[in-house]
Amino acid sequence: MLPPSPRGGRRAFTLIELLVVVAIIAVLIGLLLPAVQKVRESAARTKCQNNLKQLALAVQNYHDATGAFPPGSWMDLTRAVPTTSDRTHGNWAVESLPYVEQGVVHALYSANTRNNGPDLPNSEYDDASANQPFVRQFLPVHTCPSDPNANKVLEPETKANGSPAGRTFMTGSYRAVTGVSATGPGFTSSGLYWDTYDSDAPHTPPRERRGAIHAQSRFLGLKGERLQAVTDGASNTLLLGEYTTLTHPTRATFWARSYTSYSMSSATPGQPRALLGDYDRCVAVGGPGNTNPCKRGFGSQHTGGVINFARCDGSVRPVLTTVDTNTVFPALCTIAGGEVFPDN
Amino acid sequence: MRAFAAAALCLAGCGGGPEPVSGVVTLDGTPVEGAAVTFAPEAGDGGGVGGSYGRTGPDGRYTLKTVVGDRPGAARGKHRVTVSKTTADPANPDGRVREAIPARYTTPGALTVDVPAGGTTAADLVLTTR
Repeated sequence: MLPPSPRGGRRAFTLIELLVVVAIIAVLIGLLLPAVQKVRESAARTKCQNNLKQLALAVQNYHDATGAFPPGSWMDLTRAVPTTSDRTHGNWAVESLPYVEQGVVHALYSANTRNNGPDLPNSEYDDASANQPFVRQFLPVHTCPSDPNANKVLEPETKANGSPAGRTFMTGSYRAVTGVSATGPGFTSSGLYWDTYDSDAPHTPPRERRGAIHAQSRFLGLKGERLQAVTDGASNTLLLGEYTTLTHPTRATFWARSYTSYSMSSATPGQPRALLGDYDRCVAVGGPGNTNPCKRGFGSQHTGGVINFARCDGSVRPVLTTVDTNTVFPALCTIAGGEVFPDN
Repeated sequence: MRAFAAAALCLAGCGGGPEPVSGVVTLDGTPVEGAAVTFAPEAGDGGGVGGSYGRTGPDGRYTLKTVVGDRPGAARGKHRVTVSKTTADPANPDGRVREAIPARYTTPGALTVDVPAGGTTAADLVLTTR
């Protein structure tokens, strides 16, 4: 038998009181959530910057060990006349693997067995079947937490002449800063870039547009740059930067993809669209060179419109997406442009 | 009262907001349709606004929007302007593109436009082949 319930003793919650309590809790959660979101974003940005710092130090260590910055890519020299769509070998990301504790992947990447020599067998291109397991490796140091395409294995949108179809690569978030592209009078309508070379002379843009890391080619006498050649000042010259895209994942960054513009970008003067971090929107905005500046952009998904860059002195600082694309950004991308600009 | 409201709005948003800009692109006197127009502030970031873009209609008229944020207009002050009308070469997706505008207008330097306070509808770009 149950004891009789005490009448008028302990009073229960009324429905109104309960609703008020729920409403108060809802308001408090509503206040808290954006703060949590901000902390998460700031943590992601910090992790992203830390990765860039690690990669910049790896590139510096490569410089210490070999006397020059790593190649943006190693161009194929099996042809007498090079073309833009020639196959390529290792790139800056592959070459700096031993300095980010990935020596095993580096040793297995067969492109390193020889570099930049004539008559390379097919197995030594970055898209060779023997390299597939390694170019699909997920590397946290190459992945920005805010990258919408992080940890995806995809077939890049374009491939070199003679490259087999269906070769896939792991996405990444960071690209080498190769310099300033050349468009306008005297150059081809699509522009000249430091991540590849044109069959017509001039094969590459003028020297003062060169960045710290670019395609290397014995045919053109293009060797790795030395820190002494960075006469604009190591703290005024960008080394590596973020490129993630909100749209069009097959045009994302692929860390081990050395062909043209998948692990290297450049500045295109007067074209702010190339810093949007959104490939399809960049193409829709349009401009000189059509899609070429979009393929070679920098961009991020961080709030506040910032793109993280590592400089040649190893420091990591953001650049605003609204940066002056006529003078300041191109000046930051060259090692010896001779520009003078105020401290920023 | 309205002026007061405008002044109050101005306190909140003036000093760097984009100004409405439109104009007509002609090449040798003929309006150019489908050309991409890019305005990039000549020095600095245009008060945080950055660059702007537009595309010409059948009458050659373009209206600018900001590249970052897609807001109507362009930053006040001097801009370097490029005009381009390209088609990709389907045979060579990573290579050459066909450009219908003379090369000197596709790189910053040849064209400048000063966007006045209050904007303009007469930012006409007169291009010549020679």
